[in-house]
Amino acid sequence: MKAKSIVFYISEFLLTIFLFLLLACILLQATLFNASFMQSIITRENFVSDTTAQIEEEFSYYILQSGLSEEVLNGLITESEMAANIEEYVTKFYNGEEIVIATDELQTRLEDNIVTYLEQNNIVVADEASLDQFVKEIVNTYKQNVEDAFSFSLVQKPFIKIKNILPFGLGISVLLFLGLAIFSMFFCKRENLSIPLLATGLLYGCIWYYLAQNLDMKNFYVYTTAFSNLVKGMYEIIHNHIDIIAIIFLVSGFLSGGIYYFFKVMKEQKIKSVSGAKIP
Amino acid sequence: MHKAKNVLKGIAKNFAVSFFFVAFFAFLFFLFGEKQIKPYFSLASNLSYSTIKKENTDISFDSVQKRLLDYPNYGTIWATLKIPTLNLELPVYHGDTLDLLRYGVGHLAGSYFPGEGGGIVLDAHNTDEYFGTLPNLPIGGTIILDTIYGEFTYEVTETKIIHQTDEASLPVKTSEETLMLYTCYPMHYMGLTSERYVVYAKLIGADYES
Repeated sequence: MKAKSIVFYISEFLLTIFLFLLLACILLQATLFNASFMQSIITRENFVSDTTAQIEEEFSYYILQSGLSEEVLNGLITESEMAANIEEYVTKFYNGEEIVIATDELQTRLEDNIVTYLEQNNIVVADEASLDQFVKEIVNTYKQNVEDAFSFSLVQKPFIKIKNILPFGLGISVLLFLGLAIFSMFFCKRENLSIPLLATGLLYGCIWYYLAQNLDMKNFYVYTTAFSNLVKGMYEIIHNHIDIIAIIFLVSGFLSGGIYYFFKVMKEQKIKSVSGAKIP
Repeated sequence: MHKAKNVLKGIAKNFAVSFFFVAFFAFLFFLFGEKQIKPYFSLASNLSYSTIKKENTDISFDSVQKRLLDYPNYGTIWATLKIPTLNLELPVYHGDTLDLLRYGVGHLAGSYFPGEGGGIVLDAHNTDEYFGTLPNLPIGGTIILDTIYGEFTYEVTETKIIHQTDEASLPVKTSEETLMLYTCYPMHYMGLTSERYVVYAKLIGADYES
């Protein structure tokens, strides 16, 4: 009997771990490792508009020192094109394909704009090399900004490795959880999952609280505004999901335990009444 | 009543066991895991704009140590550059990113501040509004830096045309305090140039509060 109790509590402990891992895998697969989730955050956080605005602003820095007019930047990048490019980068990122930022079209447009501007204003440029330098700088600025805006590409390799491992992790967690639950149902006469549910809910609650206390992401800023907002948006949603998991599992744990003990007490009462024992 | 008590007792028992499990996980985490995670949390929390900005008016100069007691915030105006000969009066920002250079003169972060005895590098665009007329400033001409902690006067000693990669011509460690005004060269040029125009000036007068 004592050995059975020990096995029961050990199985409860292991069930908690497996349930925790199972939920962690589901949470990560549904959020961070899900291209649709990333796309939804990109839309929610105005990632495309912020990136376009940032690039346009940086382009304008070079106008002042170039002696050219802002006109040469007209139509250089558009939000719709940027949105299409970003969508392509996200898809490639999640598929583990190499992300190459195309700049040829931008360069051609800029060169055409400069030629038109110089012709319209009858300007003869003595040194073409300085204009080439300007074009090169603008193209590099674009490339650098897109790279910075989607800085996740820096961690693409380990990201894809984890993404590929996650389904196995999920499968193993499910199998271990179900296997152990069935084993303890027969061996330890388990009739409810209240303890693993409560413990998992409490664990997620603690993680939520720990993150809220120790990770100040409200003013987080790295690389660019667009990228920072993307990270903040993702963190916010994942943090909220952790909170929801904690609440759901705590409630389920209490309900599962409550229902189980309610019927257990009813059953005991029925047995006692049938056997004629005095019911207080 | 008795039934409810028994149900509550059962739930409480389950909760106590769950709490014990979580306490055990927490113990393991604080014993082994927190040390690994904490630096990343600290890094993420520090990568933020939440730092309380100091008022630049609080900045004062230690005349004995020859250094500022506190430094201006990056991206804020801490001086006015005056060149009477060229009729120029421009705000000087701490930092010289391209966005700051749209609004005035940038101060290369890492170079000295007036009064500290080292090289002070100030840069601006080469349009007439900013440093485009610097070639008209003669040797012996006066440059004034009216800072938030005092006024410093410099005399032009030399001008030079250098390549953009020639960092040795903009020394930060100098034997005497040297103000360097730096801009693209040639002036009024189309595109981006690879040459730079530098004006060197030595300190000839300082009027500041300690």
